[in-house]
Amino acid sequence: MKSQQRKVASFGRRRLLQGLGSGAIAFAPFVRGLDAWGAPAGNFCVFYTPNGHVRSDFGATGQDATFTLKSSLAPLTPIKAKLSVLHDLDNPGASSKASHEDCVRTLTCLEGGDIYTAQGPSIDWVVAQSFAQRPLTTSSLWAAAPNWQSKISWKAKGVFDAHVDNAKTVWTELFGNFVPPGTPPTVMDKRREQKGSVLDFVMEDVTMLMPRLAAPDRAKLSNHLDSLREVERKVATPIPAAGGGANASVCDPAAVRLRVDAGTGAIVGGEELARALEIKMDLIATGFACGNRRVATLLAQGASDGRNPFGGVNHHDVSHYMGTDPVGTWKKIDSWYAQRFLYFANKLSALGVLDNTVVVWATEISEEHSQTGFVMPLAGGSALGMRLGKAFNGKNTISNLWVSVQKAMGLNSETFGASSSGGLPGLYTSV
Amino acid sequence: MKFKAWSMVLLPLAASCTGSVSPTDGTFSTDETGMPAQGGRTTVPDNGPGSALDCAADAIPRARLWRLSKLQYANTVSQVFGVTPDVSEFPLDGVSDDSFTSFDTNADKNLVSDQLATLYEAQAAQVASAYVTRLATQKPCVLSAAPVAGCASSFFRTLAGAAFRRPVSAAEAERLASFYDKARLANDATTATRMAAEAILQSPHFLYRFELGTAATGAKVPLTQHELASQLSYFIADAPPDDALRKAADDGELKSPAALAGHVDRLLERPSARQKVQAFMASFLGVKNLADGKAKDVVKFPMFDAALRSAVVTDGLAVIAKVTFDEAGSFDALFDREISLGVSLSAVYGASKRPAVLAHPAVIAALSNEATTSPVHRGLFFRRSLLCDALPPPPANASNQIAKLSDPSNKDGTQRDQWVYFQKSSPSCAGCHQQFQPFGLGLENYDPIGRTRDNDNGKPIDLTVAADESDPQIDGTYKDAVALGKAIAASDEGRACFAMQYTTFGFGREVDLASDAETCRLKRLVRQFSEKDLNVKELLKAMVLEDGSGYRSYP
Repeated sequence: MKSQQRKVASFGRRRLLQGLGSGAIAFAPFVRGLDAWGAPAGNFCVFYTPNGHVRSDFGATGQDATFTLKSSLAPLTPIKAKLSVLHDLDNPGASSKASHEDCVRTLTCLEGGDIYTAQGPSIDWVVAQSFAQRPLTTSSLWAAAPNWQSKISWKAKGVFDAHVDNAKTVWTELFGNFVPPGTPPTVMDKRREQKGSVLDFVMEDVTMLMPRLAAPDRAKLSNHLDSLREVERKVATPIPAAGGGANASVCDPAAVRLRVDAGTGAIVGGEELARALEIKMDLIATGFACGNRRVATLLAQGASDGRNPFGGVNHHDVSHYMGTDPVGTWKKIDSWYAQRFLYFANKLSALGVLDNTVVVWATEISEEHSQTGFVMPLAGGSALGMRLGKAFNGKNTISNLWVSVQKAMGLNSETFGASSSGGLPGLYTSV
Repeated sequence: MKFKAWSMVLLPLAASCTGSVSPTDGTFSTDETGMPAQGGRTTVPDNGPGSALDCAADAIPRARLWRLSKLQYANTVSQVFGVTPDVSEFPLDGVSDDSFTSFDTNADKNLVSDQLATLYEAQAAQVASAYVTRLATQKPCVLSAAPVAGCASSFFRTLAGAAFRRPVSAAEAERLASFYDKARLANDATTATRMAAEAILQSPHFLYRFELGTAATGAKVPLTQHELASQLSYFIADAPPDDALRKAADDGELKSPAALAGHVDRLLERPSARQKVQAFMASFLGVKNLADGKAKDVVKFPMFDAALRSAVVTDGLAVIAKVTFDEAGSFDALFDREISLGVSLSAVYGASKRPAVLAHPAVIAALSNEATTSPVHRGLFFRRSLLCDALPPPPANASNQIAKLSDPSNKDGTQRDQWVYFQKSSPSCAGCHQQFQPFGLGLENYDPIGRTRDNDNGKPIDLTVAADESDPQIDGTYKDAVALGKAIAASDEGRACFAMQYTTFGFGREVDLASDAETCRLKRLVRQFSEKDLNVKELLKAMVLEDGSGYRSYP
């Protein structure tokens, strides 16, 4: 055996990552809590529900800070000071389609592609990639298998990022490198080094294979390599257990795992959807609190779809005024989702991250099945410069909303998608 | 053009279904010929004297890597490492938007996402750990406290060979041994062995099926013997080659068609072959959607809870396997054999007999909306899944017209009444819906959860279905949609479609019928399929043994 003559897998990069050490890792969220220019690091989440809303009752009346929430948003009254309501937004990038299929453009605001394919990237990807991350894309258990109705998150032009609906998978995705309580730091350091060595070997395996392949398979493996880099990043940045880190009071993956394992139980109907959404919201909020994921997209149900939480005619058909009292049913559904939005804001608040998190409630279509006059609630982000406790009434574009989000998240850009310039006036003020 | 009926040109059908719907008045404009919605077809002459098809060349699929499915991964880990992995958290395998049926096997759609890579990493750690624990009793040289010369190279050559389903080269074995040696510098032998096993479990050579052939260029490159063995084994049983098949590949015996056929016959008798056909049928008939959690309206159907849904799926899959694999074992048995429902369904479904698998509650519930019978979706099943007709997606704003599907002044009308109304209220939309919605009306004697019913909103149900496909084998008036299904199964069109569906599922690729070679291939398969009484096992055998299956092409 002549090991010296063999090609030896690299251990060098691993040592560099290991150099963070357990002490540094305990403070990792705070180390990463300041961007290079000193702005507080933020989190961003899109909460997506399908089929639009009944505009007459979804929004706010009044000007600026004296606004009153309309009936469908009344459940959000307790967080009014942490909320802004954005009225009269258009999505010019999608206006020629004017249907549920525009869900593929809600977060891109770009025209082009066929009816099920968007240009890209979408706002969640743009923000996440500015942090060298990927967004966490997840959905409730009622969302359909990946198809056009759930295509809201786009890594790049035509490259759709499928949502994950299994809560355990989401937990592993977020906290697979969770350090169990009581684990000696030296053991974890050692295991991290071992895992890193294996990943180096595997990535080299993938790279060595690529030249042999035709272009489509090279692209396939290039995507695989990206995924391995993400695994490597997670392995190198373990999540401290509750009680084990400086942010232990809020970062508690074990607690959220208990909730995940308990599942939704025997409940059915709307309560089942509510619990499933809450579990995902708990996961996202904990991910934000632990500092290991900063962008997420939560799809409640797919576009042009949607079971009615109250049973009966489904959400989509209601949005086409079918069934008995469709407007009344639709308003009830809007209000029901407002309660889920409230839960999420409260969860973020309880974990101490609401002020550093911008949550936008988005949908693919407005009441007339057009791409004009959207109403979008936004919560959180005051520490990032978001102006809250205010109704914004001027006509504007969804693109400009995403520009304001970009700014709050530290991206120095005045444009996003089509028809944007500088953001929604007054929504973002530099901190 | 990707979609084309196997022996027909679909232009008139497609032209009637493209364009856009005016958001204001519902009028419809076509963007091509402006032809009315007739749905007629043009027959392409069969292969033979005067044939318009060139059948000289085989249909050669392109060279590719194909990620193991969730089940294939589990089976391969179990067979190679003797450890059962936990794949319960793995995401669903990917579906293609443009499939005729939503099979989850498409090689272009099954990538390694970061979620999946994370789960592969976690499973590799767990499986490798259990593997080295199990290995300890065998005292292999890699676990000895003192290094043994030549041991690692030999050991990992064997292990990787099993894992990669092919012999590994000396250089590959040395690379693994080097990794093990390096790991041993900082760890004990058990840990180093575990780390090497983790690397093998995450290697692309393990996670993908290789269909690259013996050269990296060329229009007809033969698969290697081991690639052929893998194709055969995963195609039939979703499992890696067993020892006998592996040895045959090692010895070059699979060059002999007779030897290859012998292995096919042998594998088709394995329980896993039955499960694979069952998995195909579950997707083909839509039952998989129900199994994956498609639910019913809780107000209208409170009895259809998770427990009943599960019982319906279990019973449905059992009946499907019994009919299409164990007993008649034929495609047409889906439509012409009376079946019995299991006793677990009797409380809700009453009478235990159904005229055919198509009428099993699992199939009916899968093809229905959550609260309505949905002749649209049921009809689309006939058009897309049984006839392989490529209806283009609805115009972008078609869903805005959905209110016109039902008559507001006759909310208690039957589904057939609503269809008559829809034809008047939105003639442009009805032009396309005409192609499928009437077929769905032939199943109106089953409610959205698959119970029988003899009235719709208190009114009698007319199940009559008229088929006008310009195909004498199918055209006619049928007493219901089950009878229509039977006629389709008896037709060349229906048989070709079935072979095409299994190609899409079993080989993970779309069938491009713009290619003469593909059309000719289907015609050959139909001939063989028909000669063998539509036996499903015989179809699979013909597919995996046909000449083109042993080759790949490069652009």
